[in-house]
Parts: sequence; C-alpha cells; structure tokens
Amino acid sequence: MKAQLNLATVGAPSAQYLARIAQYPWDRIAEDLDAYGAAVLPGLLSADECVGASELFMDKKLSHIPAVEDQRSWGNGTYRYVRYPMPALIADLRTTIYPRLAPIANVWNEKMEISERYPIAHKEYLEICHRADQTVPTSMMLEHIAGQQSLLHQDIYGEWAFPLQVAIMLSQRGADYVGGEFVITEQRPRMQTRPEVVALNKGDAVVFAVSNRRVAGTRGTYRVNLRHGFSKVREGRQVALSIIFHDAAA
Amino acid sequence: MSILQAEKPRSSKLPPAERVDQVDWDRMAKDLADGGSAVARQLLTREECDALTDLYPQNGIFRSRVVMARYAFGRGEYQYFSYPLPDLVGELRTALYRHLAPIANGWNNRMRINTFYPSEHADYLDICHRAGQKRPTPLLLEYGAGDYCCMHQDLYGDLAFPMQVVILLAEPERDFTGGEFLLVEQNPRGLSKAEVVPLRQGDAVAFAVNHRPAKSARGTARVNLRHGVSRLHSGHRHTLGIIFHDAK
Repeated sequence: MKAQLNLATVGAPSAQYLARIAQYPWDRIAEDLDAYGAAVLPGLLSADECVGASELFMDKKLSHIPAVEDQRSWGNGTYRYVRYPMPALIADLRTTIYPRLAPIANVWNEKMEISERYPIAHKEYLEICHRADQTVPTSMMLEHIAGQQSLLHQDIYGEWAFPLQVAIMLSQRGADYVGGEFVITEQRPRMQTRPEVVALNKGDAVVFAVSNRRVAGTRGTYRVNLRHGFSKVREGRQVALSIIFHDAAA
Repeated sequence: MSILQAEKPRSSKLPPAERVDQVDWDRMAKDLADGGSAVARQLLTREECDALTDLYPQNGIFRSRVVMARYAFGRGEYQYFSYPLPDLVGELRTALYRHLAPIANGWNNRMRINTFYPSEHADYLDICHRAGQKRPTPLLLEYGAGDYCCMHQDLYGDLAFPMQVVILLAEPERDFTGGEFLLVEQNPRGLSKAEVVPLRQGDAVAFAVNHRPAKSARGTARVNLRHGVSRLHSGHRHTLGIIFHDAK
C-alpha cells in the first residue's frame, strides 16, 4: 500500500502522457523505423520523472532481480524486472505508447506476410499474452557502472512477442556517465551486419525492432534480424528503463 | 608527399614516426589484449589530418575506388593508395608495425598459431609479395550524412597481419555527428558484445583484424571480431586505414 502511494507522486497522470505522446511526429517515426529499425522520442520524460523512475527500482516490492544465470548471459550490469501491479509511470507509458506502435507493427507484419495482427488497445494485447500463459511483466531497469555493458540480445520470452519495444535513458551522457552507447546490429541475409548507434540524452526514448523487420533493398525486400545492447560504460553510472509490450511465460 | 611535408605544423616537434615511438605501447598491448582495441590519442595533428583529407580528390595516388553501396558493404566510399605511398602514410605504417609485431607474436603464441612476424615491416611485405599479395592496402575513407560501414574484416588473401590501425581525420561534433567506430566481438557460446570506441581528430585506434586471444576455462580461446562505422547524422568524416598485409 505504501508503494502504491509513492507511485502516485512519480508519474504524470495518464492524460498528460497521452498529450505528450500525441505531440511526436508519428509519421516520421514510422519512416525512421522503416529506414533504420530505430527512432528517437526526444524528451519523453522530464528530469524529475527520470529520477522518480530510477528510484522505483530501489523498492523491492515493485521489482525483482532476474535469475543469476540469466543476468550473466545478458551482460555484467544490474538488472531488475518490474512486478505487477506495475508502477503508474511504467503502466501509463506502456498503455499510451502501444496504440501508436500497433499500426506500425501491423504494417510490418503485412509486409513480412505474418498473419498476426495487433489490437489497438494494449489491454487487449495483454489478454492475448495472458491466455497464452505469458503473464509476467518483462519491462526492466538496467544499471551499468564503469566496465559494465549489456550484450547484443533480443527480448523474446515466449510465442507472443510484440515486434517493437522502447528504451528510455534515465541518466545524462557526459554528465552522469561516459560510454554506454545504445547499439543495434542488423543481420542481413548473405550480407554484412549493419550497425546503428543511437545517441540518447536523459529522458530520451528510443523505439526499436525487437527481432525482425522488412527492409527494401535494391534487389527486392528482405528480412533482417536485429539485436540491441549497451556498449561498456567507461565512467560513472547509467540507468535505463526498458519497456516491453508483451509479457513473458511464467 | 610534399604537401604533407610542407604543412607539417611547427607545434608538432617530432616527426610522426617518432611520435609513434612515444606512445605507451605497454598500455596499448594491455588494452588490445583486454578488449581487442587500443587508442593512441592525438597521433596526428589537425594540420596533418587536414592534409590527408585533402588527398582524397587527387588523381594519380590511388589504385582503386570502392563505392560501398555497390557491394552492400554500407554507404560511402574509399580509395586504396598506390605504391609508393604518400610519405606520411608509409612512415606511419612502418613505425606502427614495429610496435605491433611483438604484440602479434605474443597473440599467435597464446593462440598456438605457428606464424612469426618479422620485426621490420619491409621483411613482412617481402613475405606477402612472394605469396602474390602485392597490392597496397592503406586507404582513405570518406563518409557523408547517412553513410555507414557494415561490420567486416579486412582480409585480402591467406596472409594477414592480425592488427590494423584507423586514424580519425575529422573532429566529432565540429565536422560530423554520428559515425561511431564500433567493434563487435562474437562470443562462441553466448551473445556478441558491441564496443564503441570514442575517437577525436588525430586519434589512432589499433584493433584486431579478425580474432584475438581470450582467456577461457581451458586456456585460451579465439574470439572473432568485426569492425564497422555507424551512420553519420551530418557532416563529413574521413579516416585513414592502415592495414599491414598487402592484397592479392
């Protein structure tokens, strides 16, 4: 109960997030996602919200540490999964960003000839996950201090995987940490892998492909396989929030 | 080339080859062993970087030009120098090799690779040339907005010196944004690791061409590496690539 009360003071109410999310140029974001597999939402969270979001994970009632063997395979940072009931900030972000991404995901699936279509309300999508016994939230906090990084991976936790996810940077590069770049690699069939580095300031979010997307090449379209990670933090401390729209198998 | 000689700044008291000798090579060897790369800060002056950049549009000094998009290597282009190399490039190649060869021999020893690199680059080039690898591999690369280079390894035949050097000739933020130099290390039993190497104008990064030794449960394993450049968001970025083996 105490946790619930703390939460009310952390995030802006859902209506404010709706207005904030609506201000982004979603046509251009869809274009960037098509072109590069990633798009930035500058200033999604205020400095105060970044502090609040980092502190959420200090509360053990709200989050838990993944199994040690999982952690080692991802990298050498500190990771904490959020639990249900989710902190308002993360729940609101999931609910308000998802409806903007579902149409983009549906176009991608159409192009990749994948029959699955995503409902426009996140609640309905979660119901599908839960019916498939994917009931555990997978959004998490990542913390990297000097010498720590997250390896290149995909956040897939079961049959159902929403094809886009979001990472929000809660620390300021240059001031709070050095290094720790967000990196995406795109594996292309019979071609070399394409790297992408996304520069994020405190409060910026990046939307990116979880695993596959369709790319229009000079000789027709092909499917690429993406992985993401954080390069080594060289100095200081970096905290980021990863928002994943599907739940995981229990 | 005479341009480079003429534009050598007064502020750099030492010739480039002697600056190479002043680099802390013990630290470089340790960084290379730990992560597959090591940076020598400000190896070249701004004037030297600008002079090398100005070579790019010149005729008669390059043997071939590669437009990366044609081969799906990325976007942007590069040109391989012809022999004789411009003086500065040739001097750097000779001087850098002298310090990297002992490190390479240490690596081969650890990885149980039965190849020994002679201490002088001229002797190594003789070996390459006798094996039919006769064409020079040092190159200038040019990236504009939207350009990038996919993850790759610069191998041009059976003979390969296991380290190479890239020198950034432009200044981040002032001349370009984006365009990060990356290494990806393939872990045979797990996830790959991406490393972004922060560079400023004149900085040289030495890195493994294709693999490096890494400690493993049963002694030493070979870790496979590739390098590349992320997309430029704006501006122009030139680099000098120094590869120590020649090409078929």
